[in-house]
Amino acid sequence: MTNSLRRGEPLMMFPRTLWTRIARLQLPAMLSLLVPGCLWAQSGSPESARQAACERSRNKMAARATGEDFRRAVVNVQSCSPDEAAEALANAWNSAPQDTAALRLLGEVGGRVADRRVLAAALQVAGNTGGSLQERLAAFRTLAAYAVPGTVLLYHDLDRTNLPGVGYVMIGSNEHQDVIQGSQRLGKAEIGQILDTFRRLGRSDPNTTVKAVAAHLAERLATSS
Amino acid sequence: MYRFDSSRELDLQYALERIAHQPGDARSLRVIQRLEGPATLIEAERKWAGNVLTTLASTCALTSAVTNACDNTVTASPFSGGSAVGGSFTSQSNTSASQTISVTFAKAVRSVTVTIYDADFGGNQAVATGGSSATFSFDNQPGNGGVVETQTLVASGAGITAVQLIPAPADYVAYDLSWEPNDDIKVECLPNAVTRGQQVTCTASPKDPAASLTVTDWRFDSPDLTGPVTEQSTSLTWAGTAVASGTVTVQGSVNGTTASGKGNIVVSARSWSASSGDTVSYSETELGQQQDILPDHPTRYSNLGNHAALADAYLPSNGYTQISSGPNREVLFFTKVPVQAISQISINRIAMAVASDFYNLQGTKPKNQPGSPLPYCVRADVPAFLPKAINHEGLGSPPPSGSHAAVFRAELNQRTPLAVEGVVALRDITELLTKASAAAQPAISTARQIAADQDNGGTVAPIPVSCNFRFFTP
Repeated sequence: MTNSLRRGEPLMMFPRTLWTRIARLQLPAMLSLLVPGCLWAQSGSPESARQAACERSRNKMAARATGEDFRRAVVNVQSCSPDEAAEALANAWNSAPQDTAALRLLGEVGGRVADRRVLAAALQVAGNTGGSLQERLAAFRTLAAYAVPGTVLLYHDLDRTNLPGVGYVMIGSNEHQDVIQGSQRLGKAEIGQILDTFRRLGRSDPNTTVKAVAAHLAERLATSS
Repeated sequence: MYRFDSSRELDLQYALERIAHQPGDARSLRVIQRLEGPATLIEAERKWAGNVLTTLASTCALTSAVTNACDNTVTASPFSGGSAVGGSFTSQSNTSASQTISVTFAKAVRSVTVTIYDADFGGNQAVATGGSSATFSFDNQPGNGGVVETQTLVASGAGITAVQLIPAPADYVAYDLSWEPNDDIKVECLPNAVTRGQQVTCTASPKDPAASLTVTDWRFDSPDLTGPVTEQSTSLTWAGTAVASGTVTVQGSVNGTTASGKGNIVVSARSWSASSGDTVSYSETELGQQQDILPDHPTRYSNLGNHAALADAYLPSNGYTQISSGPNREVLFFTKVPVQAISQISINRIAMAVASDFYNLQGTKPKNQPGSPLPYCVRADVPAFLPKAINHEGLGSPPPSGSHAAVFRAELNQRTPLAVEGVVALRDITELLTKASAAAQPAISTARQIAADQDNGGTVAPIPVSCNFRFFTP
């Protein structure tokens, strides 16, 4: 939905210069500051509902909620400030959920909040040879999206053995490549660190599935980044 | 330095000559020294002579200690490239007396042609194993290059397998050597150009229709395969499904003499048509509320919908096969386009529902947006946006025309079949899959790019709108 659905930009069809200028103003935020007590900043307003949802999400993630509670919390933590979201996501990796749906969401949402705290947590999980396969592959989602923004991974046939990487993972890209920048931004060094990690795991990880997937990602992401 | 048997008067003549063994070959020069007189040469040391390299035009020629040419491996020992008197090789780098050179052929040949340079003394010979021998003439005049003589050794029985180049005692000589393969077998593969997956039959026959042919081995080589396909067989035909272009070589004998022959298989691409449906394995899925990552409180337009374009090679069930016989025996190839693609679509139905927080964030009455030609949207615009988002991302079967999903699907169907059409592998399914994946990537990448929004360099038009939504601000 770019042009129409693009990061932080209004949806319209008129000259791009004006459209860009307006986008930079981030009008809702400006208006909420300039017009105290405006409708959506008041208690019981939609904006306060967002704030409440953000708090709820952070609390549930911190409390290691399970099932649907955790899944919606991970998704809705994107409505929090970038710092709050990054902190919550990084902490979530320290006690990663067990169910694969929650892990998938944690990996994907992590990839949309670019922050070194989340990166460090994801790298730790990805490289932990004692961790579960699902957990490590979920961390790969975050790392892949950092290396090439918009990257999305679809795993399949994980119960089969001795396949090449392409036999386990399909690589795609989100049309709307949203990235929320945290306060601890990622630079080229971090991208290099991610690719090095994939290469290293692709060479020598004891888990053959992790090894195959990592090698495949290292090759494909290196040509795209 | 020369040493003669007696003190007599001698004439020494020098000349600079251009060497031209073959028409058009004028790249080398040589110094000719001519000695004339009654004295007999006892010893010669010719340090003034530098190496002169010559190159023969013949492709079946000895050019190094181990020469791979004309479907044969020929070994010469000792071997030293170039010489002081012309020719392409000698037995050693200096100009002292030559040694016997043994030349061996991995496959017997029909004839061997030897040219000797500067044969000064009697006794220079070429002796073939499995063929005739030759003795070279001489002029008893060292260093004058006067005798340059070519002789051909002809095979008898199973063909020539080795040649000894024996120099005359104390003589320094150089040689050119070439051979004629025993290619008395004709190989014809029909049809001349075969569409990938169709049958091809290669037939061996003697070039001389009156000769008798016995076949012992068939072999197929292709740049698309990691190794040759070989088969020991006495059959005069080698037939099977053809999927890789390459060369067919047959070994055998003609009238009892070892012989070989070559033929070519030329494979052309199949045509893949999407007229009756997808060429790739395409599916579309909408990620439900438990799977999508669109937040309930959207902070930007992209939180309202998304299209993820996934595609890569795969092994389609009943879509690849291994050939059981013929020149491409054990070669794997695809019978279906080995690309699967998924349009993963997310629609933020929670945010775009009536009475959602996003709905309530919008005003109830139209209001101008400062600095924008478009006003703010009202609440009724929220649910009205839902079908537009669905249409833009491409949710539906088939996906709505012009949507991300529809363009992605159409481009993949058009581009990937040709990209992966020629992928083959010898016995190794993993190699087949990885080769297909690598071959498909450029087409997949292009399909994704074309299926992007116009603002991102693609072709998908933006959603037409008449107002701007208010979004949540974290």
